[in-house]
Amino acid sequence: MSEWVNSEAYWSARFANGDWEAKLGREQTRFFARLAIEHIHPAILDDIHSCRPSVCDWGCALGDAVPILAEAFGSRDVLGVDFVESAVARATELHPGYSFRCASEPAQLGREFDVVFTSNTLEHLERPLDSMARLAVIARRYLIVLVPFLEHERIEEHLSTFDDAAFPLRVGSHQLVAATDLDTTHLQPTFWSGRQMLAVYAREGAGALDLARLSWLAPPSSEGYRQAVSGLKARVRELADRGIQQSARAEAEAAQLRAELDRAVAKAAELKRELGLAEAELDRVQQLAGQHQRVVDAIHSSVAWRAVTRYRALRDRVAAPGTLRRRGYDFARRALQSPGYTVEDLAAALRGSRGPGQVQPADGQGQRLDIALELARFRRRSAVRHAGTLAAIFATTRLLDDEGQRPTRIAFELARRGIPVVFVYWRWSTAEVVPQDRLHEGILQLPIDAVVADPDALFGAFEAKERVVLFEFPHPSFFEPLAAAHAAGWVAIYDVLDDWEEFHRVGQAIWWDEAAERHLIASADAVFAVNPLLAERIRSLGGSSVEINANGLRPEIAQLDRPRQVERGEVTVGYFGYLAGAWFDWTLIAAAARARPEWRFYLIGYGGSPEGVDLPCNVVLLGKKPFTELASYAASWDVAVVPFKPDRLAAGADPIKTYEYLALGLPVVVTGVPPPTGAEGLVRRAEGLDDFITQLAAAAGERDQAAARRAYAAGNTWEARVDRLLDAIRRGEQRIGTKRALFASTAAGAR
Amino acid sequence: MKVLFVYKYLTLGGCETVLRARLDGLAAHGIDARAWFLHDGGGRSVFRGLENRIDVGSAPAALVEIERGGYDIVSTLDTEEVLPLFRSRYTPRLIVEVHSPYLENIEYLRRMRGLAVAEYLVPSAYQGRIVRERVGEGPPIRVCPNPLREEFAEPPAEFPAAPRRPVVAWVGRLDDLKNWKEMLKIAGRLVARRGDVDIWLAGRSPDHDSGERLLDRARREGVLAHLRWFRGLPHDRVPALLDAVRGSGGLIVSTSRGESFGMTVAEAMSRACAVVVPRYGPFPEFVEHDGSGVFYEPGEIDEAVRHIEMLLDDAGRRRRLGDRARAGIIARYGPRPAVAALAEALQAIAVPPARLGAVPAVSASGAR
Repeated sequence: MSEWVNSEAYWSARFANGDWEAKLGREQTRFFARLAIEHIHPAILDDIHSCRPSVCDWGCALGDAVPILAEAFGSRDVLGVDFVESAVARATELHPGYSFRCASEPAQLGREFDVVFTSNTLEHLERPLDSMARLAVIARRYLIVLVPFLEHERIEEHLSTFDDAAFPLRVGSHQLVAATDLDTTHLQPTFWSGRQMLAVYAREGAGALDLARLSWLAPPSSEGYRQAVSGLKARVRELADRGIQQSARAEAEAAQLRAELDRAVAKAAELKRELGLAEAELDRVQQLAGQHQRVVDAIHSSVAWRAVTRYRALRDRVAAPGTLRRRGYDFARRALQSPGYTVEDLAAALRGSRGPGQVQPADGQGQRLDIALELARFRRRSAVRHAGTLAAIFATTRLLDDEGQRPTRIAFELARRGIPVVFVYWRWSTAEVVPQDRLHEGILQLPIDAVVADPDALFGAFEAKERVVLFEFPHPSFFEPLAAAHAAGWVAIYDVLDDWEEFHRVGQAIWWDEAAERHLIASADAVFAVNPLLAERIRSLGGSSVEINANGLRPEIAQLDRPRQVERGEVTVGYFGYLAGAWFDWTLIAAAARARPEWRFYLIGYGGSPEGVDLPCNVVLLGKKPFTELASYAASWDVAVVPFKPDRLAAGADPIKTYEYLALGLPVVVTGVPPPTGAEGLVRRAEGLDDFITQLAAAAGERDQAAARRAYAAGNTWEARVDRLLDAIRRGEQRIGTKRALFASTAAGAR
Repeated sequence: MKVLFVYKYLTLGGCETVLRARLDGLAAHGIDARAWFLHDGGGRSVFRGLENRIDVGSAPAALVEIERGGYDIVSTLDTEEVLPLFRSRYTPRLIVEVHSPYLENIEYLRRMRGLAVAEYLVPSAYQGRIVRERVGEGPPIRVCPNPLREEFAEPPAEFPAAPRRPVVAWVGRLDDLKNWKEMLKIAGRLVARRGDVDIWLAGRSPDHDSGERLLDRARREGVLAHLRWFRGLPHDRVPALLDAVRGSGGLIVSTSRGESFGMTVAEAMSRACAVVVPRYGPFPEFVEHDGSGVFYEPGEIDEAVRHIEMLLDDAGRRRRLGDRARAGIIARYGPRPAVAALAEALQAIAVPPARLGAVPAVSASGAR
């Protein structure tokens, strides 16, 4: 046999590599300890217990017998000893409150113990009796030995076999007082398939119980000895009876205590459950209260709220509730919202026979969209099935070709390249359902609220190799869709196109919440901003990496259909785009027009009105014009403007119209917004009325730079922006590489 | 020998992955194993390639299969629904496996009178004690380790694009037992002390409003700006996630107060991640404090944060813990040793002692 087996290094390795525990060594230790305790004669156990003994567990392994011995012997002084240092260290951690030492010889301990216990250790030694003798030296009263018995086919680690002759009547000054042959084969559960011998030695003259060895060994023949044995057996029986009575009392008390403990545990569990329910309810209520408060605050601070409040007050004065005028008003309002009302309905409303909400529209408005079905149909399309890349865009608008918004343009550009797009659009009412009129281009349109309600339907629907989702605004309700996208392996991008905090400040974007935007920034795989100012803002919100990917243009803007004949001024100034009062500086335009009555100002656009600003007659509002006609109008302009208010809201914008003006070759003057990156030399920036007029006058004479402007514009198309986006994804920029590595192979099974 | 495992749900959960590992491994031990599920919850992909070894059907249909199939052993996993069928008819040897950490789900164990249960199998000694409290003295309870899936046992390679900031991650079901709120408390205090850390949560809850509750709690604890939530991460992505965490210089935290075994922690250890776990339940059975992981007292948020910070700041210690954790956990819960232990147990249980004369000891070779 190898010397390695049973060496300190061998056992150290078994403890360290988990083999001991894997082979249930700890359970076995406890099993043997309990086996010994159960079979030590009650009289001996009683004797040990009565003296509150000090105990040594020799060969304690991970110390699992120590607590059992402490309890069984009523001892507060139990020392576990093992010759393997790592075992002692582990035992110390596993059994805080007990002492353990490392020693290879009993003498190293330098003290005696009332009881020395050693279980299944001596069979590992070639000369077990020598060891037993050394253990007896430190056993002040009892030496208790448990070993395999009659193990003729030894396992590899066992070097000695114990049989009847293996237990001497004396070991040093200790006498064998009890020996019990235990067959553990049929115990349930068992951790030893065979027999064990429990031998107890008592030191003479040390107050230990003076019992004779039991009858399994041949007894000496002297009559005096037999009488002594007989007397001692009687004493054993007497002590045993006493022990049984005490044990019965103790068991009754223990049963009572156990019952009380069970009741206490049950009560504690009940209280814990109630506490958990109460905590959950409190959470829910606090959460709802917080949400409601945020919504209420946002509504109260909005322009719309203030306007509606004034409007309602006016309405109640003009058409007081309950009057004929009010009933007519209510009916007209409903009829305007929902076609399908009849004259009979009107009559009934005026009579007051139908209350609000009782008149039902004739058509089927309000039907819910089954997005799972829509997605399934879309997925079945061949182009979608075979696409290597697929994109979803959470947009602030609907997919309107003629409004030229960034999400729309990105969607069309992706689709043009054969990348299927799920365009997730904002809607103000669930009654709004957009027809699927872009499927032939590879674009599916779904409302945001439906996707937010069931994000798995979208993010679990596709198996394209690369799936990308662009969040175009930081709505708090994207928290769960973003998490679903992460779990399904989509590359999540926050595409920052506005300063939403500023929109919120001026009463729009009432949903905005700083914490939610910070989360989107931190959690997205990549963040792109349309200009440096927004990028800086993202950094201030904790974004560690953000890249610029500016707005762009459609090259076809420059295709001139036919020039529109408009009345020209000394200088003809033009604007096209959104006219929202939040950022469009009506006052500046009006003042400039008034200061230069010989100039003409043409404004093409939608979404806003002068809002109380008196416009002089040289300012002409042309309304909304088709995209294809813009070049026709602009052909007669000398200079184009972006007249935005000088505040943070506008500063965060990267107006698409600036690129489009440049594509038309027009000189450009901007206020409130920075020129596009790289176009600083082509775009004049003005501050204040005088500077605005000065810059307009100067720009109007710069027709010679048209080629340079067109050249700049040619490099800033939506195609270039989507190139940049796809390149960033392909290169794994920012945290996209991490996401890709997480999902490097196909997935199955979910947690 | 033929064995049928019976489990309630065929979903994409942890029990199914354990069964998959068993069906994969038991054949090598001469055991013909199959699985029966009562409800199909969309988890067939877990058994890809082994479709002919699983069935889905009602409890009575399972009984028909049991009688027809000539099984030596039927082992039920937390599936009390089939147990009444075993009271009145002839059956093979019955094993009742108890894996659920949800105490309300194992109350049925108090009503086992009249059932001839050959043995109870549990994944940890801790779970064994919980079962013992319910079944009383007498019926044998055997600890049988849960096997890790093969992907976890493979040598952990360097993560190719490790996150730039250390990630402190939590993996599990978002419910009260797994105690995700405590994780957010820990995360809140951690990010308040240092901004250079990201918090990853991988898990979901069947509750429809779990996302709102998580958002609300994360907002209140101030962790939203550091949080990345993976809602329903596929299990086969978990090894990569753990590798990413390790590669970032981060670690795994568990806050669970209900485990029968602690599989997510064992999986993290198998990928050589340093773990910070509560000194609770089954964790002390395979986590050694400062040897293969770090304990904190359950509910002691500051202590947990202190341990996390110390580990984040000490790469050497983090690596040592991770390496030792992996060595220990693979030796005990790797697919091969764990399935071998199960095979040994099944073989021991298959033949009643009366016929053999002696039940082979489970751990004779480990005797000392």
